[in-house]
Amino acid sequence: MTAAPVVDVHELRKVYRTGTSGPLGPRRNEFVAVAGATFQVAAGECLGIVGESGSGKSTTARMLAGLERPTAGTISVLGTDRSRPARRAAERHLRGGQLQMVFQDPYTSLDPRQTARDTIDETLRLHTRLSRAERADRVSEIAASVGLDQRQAHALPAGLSGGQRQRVAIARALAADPRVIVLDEAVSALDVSIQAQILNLLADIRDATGVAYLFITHDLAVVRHMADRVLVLKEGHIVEQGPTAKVLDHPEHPYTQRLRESVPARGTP
Amino acid sequence: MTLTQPSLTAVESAPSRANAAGRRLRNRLGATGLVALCWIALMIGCAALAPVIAPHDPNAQDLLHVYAAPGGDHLLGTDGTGRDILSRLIWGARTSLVGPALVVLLSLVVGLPLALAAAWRGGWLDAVVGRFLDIVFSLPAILVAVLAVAVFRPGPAPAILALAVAYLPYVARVARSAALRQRAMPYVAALTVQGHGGVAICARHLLPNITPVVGAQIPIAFANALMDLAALSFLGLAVQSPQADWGVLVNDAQAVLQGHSSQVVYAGVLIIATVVALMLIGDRLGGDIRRRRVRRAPQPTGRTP
Amino acid sequence: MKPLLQLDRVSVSIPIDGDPRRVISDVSLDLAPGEALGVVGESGSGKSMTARTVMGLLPSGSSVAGAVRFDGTELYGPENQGRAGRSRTAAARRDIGMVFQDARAHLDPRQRIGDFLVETDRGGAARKAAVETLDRVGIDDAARRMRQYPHEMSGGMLQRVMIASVLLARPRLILADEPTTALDATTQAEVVSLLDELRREDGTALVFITHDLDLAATFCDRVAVIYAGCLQEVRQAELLIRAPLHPYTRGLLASRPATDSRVPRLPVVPGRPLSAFEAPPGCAFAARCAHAVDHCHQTRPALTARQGALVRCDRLAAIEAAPVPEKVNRP
Repeated sequence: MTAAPVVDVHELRKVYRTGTSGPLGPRRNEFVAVAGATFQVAAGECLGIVGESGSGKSTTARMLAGLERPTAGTISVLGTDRSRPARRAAERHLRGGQLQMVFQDPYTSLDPRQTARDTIDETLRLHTRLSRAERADRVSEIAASVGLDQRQAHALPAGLSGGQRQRVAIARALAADPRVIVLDEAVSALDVSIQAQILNLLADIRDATGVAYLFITHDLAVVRHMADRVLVLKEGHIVEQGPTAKVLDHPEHPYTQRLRESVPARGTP
Repeated sequence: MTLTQPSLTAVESAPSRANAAGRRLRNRLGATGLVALCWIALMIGCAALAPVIAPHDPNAQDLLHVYAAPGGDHLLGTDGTGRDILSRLIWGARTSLVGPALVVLLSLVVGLPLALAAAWRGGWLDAVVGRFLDIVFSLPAILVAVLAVAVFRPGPAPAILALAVAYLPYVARVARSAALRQRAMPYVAALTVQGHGGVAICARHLLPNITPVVGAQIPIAFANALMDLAALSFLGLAVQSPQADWGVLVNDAQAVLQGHSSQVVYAGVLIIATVVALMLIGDRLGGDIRRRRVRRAPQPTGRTP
Repeated sequence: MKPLLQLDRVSVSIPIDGDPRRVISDVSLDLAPGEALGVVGESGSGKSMTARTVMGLLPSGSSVAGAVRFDGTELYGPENQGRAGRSRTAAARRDIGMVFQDARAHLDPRQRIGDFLVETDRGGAARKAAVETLDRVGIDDAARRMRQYPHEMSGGMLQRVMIASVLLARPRLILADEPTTALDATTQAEVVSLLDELRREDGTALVFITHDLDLAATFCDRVAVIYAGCLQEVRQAELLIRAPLHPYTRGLLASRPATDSRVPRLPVVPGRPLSAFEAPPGCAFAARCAHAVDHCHQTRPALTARQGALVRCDRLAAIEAAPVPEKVNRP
């Protein structure tokens, strides 16, 4: 990597402390969700993070987005440190303009009382200085770019299908014009035929804008299709990372091999 | 398995949206609920138009016509000092409805921000607010009001303020738990990632989304406050005679209950009917929310890892 | 051979928002004893409702047209009305076991695993059978596990417990409704191969309901692809995967990325999946089909036998001639 990475994560750790009261007084439990992850994402790159439940992949995503506070380690996006919560509004806006996130469940990741247009417009109001009329044009432009038609753009989430809602969520992320988008299982809840549509859309967006993706998924086929490089997480540890084709076709770590073998192979009943 | 499939009601132009809102309200309330709503509207109408529709001055005494029988100039007759009962009932709607309205309004103005702040911040603030609301909730409202009146002075203002404090948990507890549910939704996380501040998210997103749940609670709190205030007025601790108020009217007439019971009956019926109607509306709105939650619960998405 | 399960022109409507809505239309299927059939579809396709119809788990107010027969016994019909009829139906269903997607939701959190497995009879023989069965489904230290509560076990472990509970009843048919969808990939592979192994040992028939065509094809004998409540293609699993006939099956297979190779762009099926009650009168898939002509929009094709498969498409000949249409011209 010659250019400076857009995301630079160093020795990132997250430990959850849970106090439970046992028969012999309080017990202290520690759960290490992420145990020292170090990785970079280059500008315009798509880095896949694969792992099963409890691997720490979602916790990593949430720490990058500022939704969880790291226990130790540093996160820097476009040279700005975000290991600590943003203190001032200006800092929050700056971070929002750098990195955006798309969530798994399209049924709960949109405000049920906000139309697609209003959702996009709210982001534009925060992140741009466009006039009302200019914003309206930009909203139409963004809505069209994610494949929402006029009816859908004016609809509330309840009037949209799962795939359409996920398009709205992607549009909302794009409205902030970020350099990085974290996609946390963003296509996992979608039907197979819709999943393909959204994957193509994401590829088109990357071609058009040069945005980098952090693509978090449990689905090896999807990561193979999308990611340039892949990072395999197991119980908070990075067990393997490298170019996607190399890691998936010639996995070195036994866990990666096991993951690879668990995928039903086509045409070999 | 198709329960969450989109319906085709999404796009509406502005006028049809108003129509649709009316239709939704009808669906939510049902036939009995609509009757109840009409009754409340009638009472509010009486209160608002009292100066216009009341046939007489509610406080004008006519000692020549005490305990007049219904009919003629006095549709519902007169009381012991010759005041027109109908006019006093109509004017009484004002004080009887404004009092509980102020109680609910005050508890909303204080309770909603408190609930939202607690749900948003979490941690110690939420713990403190939660415990405080639990403690207040365990105090009988009437007792709080009686204490306040004893410390300050009898009258509507102390009674209303005391009831507003006592009714804080009615609204705030429901609002807090609804806000906590919304807070945990990914859309709130998305807004945080966008860079929106807590106040903006609470005001623009959490508040509208908890409104249906809180809204269902309002008629019920209103009904209870109406009953409590009527009781306090009956005891002479809130609204004072000779001002017209349903509770006061019951008190005025109770000494002469035997022989001249009609005023007690009229005022009592108005109180009971209004309380029942409010309870019914609250129940329907709440029931509708519960039903909708059940209907939305199963989400037949393809895959959930 | 006499079919174990027979669905004959079954249509089902369930009440949605108070209105009866069609969720399955005209489904005919035969399942031989010991056979494994995969039922594959997207959300709203009616795949789960098919299993629920067989199991008698439809919401109240549902209506079922056509015939559902298990081992020759009619499950929905005039003879199933009344007390005697209902108990006869229940007796017939005793030979059917069902495994659900979310095992945790189907277990009482306050009940020990052992008590769940030997609910009716606390005798030593039943307990011994339960321990043996837990052992069979690959749960180590079964005797200790019997004393545990559901929250002490992982999702994959609980799904094994569910399978054990089904096996204990010695069913002749197992209906598995997305049994591995909520599980991790490695656990999914284990549970699926376990289900397959046990089924073969006991000679139990299986209906495996899933959204994952590849998964169904790995261990089912036949696969039925369902769309908008309608069976679109029923075929031997290997052939269905290698040479799909119906445009929807083709689309599903093509739009799913592969683990071992990468295409520059995924071929997509436009639009979104429909439910039976949303489907137009013609071919249910016509609106999303690149090969559709006016005829498709007007008449619903019949499920007809072609090349050893059952396919519901009238354009197969044209599709064979030009598998990938250049440009779609649709009104």
